[in-house]
Amino acid sequence: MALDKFEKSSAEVLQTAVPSEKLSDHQLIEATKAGDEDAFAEIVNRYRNQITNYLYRFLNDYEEAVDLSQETFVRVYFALERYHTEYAFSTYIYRIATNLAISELRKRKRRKLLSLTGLFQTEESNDTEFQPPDERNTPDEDLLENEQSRTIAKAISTLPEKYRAPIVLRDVEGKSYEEIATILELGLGTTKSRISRARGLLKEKLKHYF
Amino acid sequence: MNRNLENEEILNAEDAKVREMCGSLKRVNAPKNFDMRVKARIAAHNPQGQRKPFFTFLKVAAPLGLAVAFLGVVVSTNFYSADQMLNPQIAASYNATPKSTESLLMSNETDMPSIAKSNGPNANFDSNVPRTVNVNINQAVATTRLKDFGKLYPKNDFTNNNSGGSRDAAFSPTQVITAENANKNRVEKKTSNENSDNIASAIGKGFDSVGIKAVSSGNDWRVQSVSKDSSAERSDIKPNDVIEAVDGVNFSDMKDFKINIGTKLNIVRGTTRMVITLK
Repeated sequence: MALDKFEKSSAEVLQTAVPSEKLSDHQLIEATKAGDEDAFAEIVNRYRNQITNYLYRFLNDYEEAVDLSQETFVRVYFALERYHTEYAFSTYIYRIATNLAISELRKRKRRKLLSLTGLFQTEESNDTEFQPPDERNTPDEDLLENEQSRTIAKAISTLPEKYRAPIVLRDVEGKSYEEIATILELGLGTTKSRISRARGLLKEKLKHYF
Repeated sequence: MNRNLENEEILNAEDAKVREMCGSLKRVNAPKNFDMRVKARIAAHNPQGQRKPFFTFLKVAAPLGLAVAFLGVVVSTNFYSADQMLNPQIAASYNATPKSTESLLMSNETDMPSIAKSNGPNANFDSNVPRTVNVNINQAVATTRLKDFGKLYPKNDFTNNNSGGSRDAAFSPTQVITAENANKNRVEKKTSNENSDNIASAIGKGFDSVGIKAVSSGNDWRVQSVSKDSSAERSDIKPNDVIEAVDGVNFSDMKDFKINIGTKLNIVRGTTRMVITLK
């Protein structure tokens, strides 16, 4: 047997041994680090819907959510060398997505301050704000939500950012308190109290459903 | 989907409903070309958030520039007068404080060479350089800017703008200040002050002569003490009486002062007014 047969990279070994769908996140990352583009494609495939949904509920803007979701994967790709496997990859990717979403919210705030139209906008007028047509793909049929869903989504999107991330992670994404605490880099107690406070605020906003 | 809503906490009904409502939201998926767009971004290697260096530079430079400009305005406003900014030569000559015009006028009848001399060797009076001189006449302080100081002469009207006279509103436009009337005002004021000093002194001595120690309190005199066996004691004048007039003449109208036995003093004692004749 030729010696070069034993000199295959670990990625090649993994590829040939097991299909990428069955590899763990950490294995896929190692493979990506070794230059396996398909391994990274599998990571994207695993998390794209979760991250897009999370960002959509966080920002209440599908196009922005998709854009930031893609940006999240780009950041992950270029920061793989710095990723430590002692943390779950899902925690890591949600943390990046959350930070991007918070930055986006702050940018929006600044834009609103600077925009002249912002001076005359009321909270209600934001609902009917003109959205220019977008050439990109339209969202799926799933996006056509009923009135209640729109109200809930709107209520979530009006929560302060420090309450919004925990409630979306908890009640929309179904993450555990520990995971949320790790993603948001908060203590467990703080995480719980923020979720509780967020629910209280949502109750007030959605009181006509109670 | 990794929802595991049923595995944790016990919630009250309302919290549970909130949670149920949030959980009921339909999940959205990434678009079909998502992977391709991610790959394209990675290939372009232009992650969102990277800004062109020019804009980054502007972000820092613009506020810094504004701050420096503001500081410059503050410094120049506080430390340099308009004159100094216009002509640095003036700034040098300002080492010597110009004397008031009145004092100049009185010192040597406004002889120009002596004015220059009086400001010391550092004074640099250039006839073409505008100057500011404080004029203090009859308690009216005015700042007169003398454009052509070399043409200053006692009989000149300083308010004449054509000859570089007063430009400041503090100077009354109808008030013509010349060396003559400045001197006249000074003499009148001096005489008036001397007269009032003389009368006050005469009044004090006069009261002393009838046994009254009194001090002036504006337009009247207050008795401090009364000498024993004096005319004042006999006439029942008491300390703290206020003498308003002597023989019906107020102190403010008094040209001279005489007091003797038989003189009538208008006195206020507490709330009572009385006329006491000296015995």
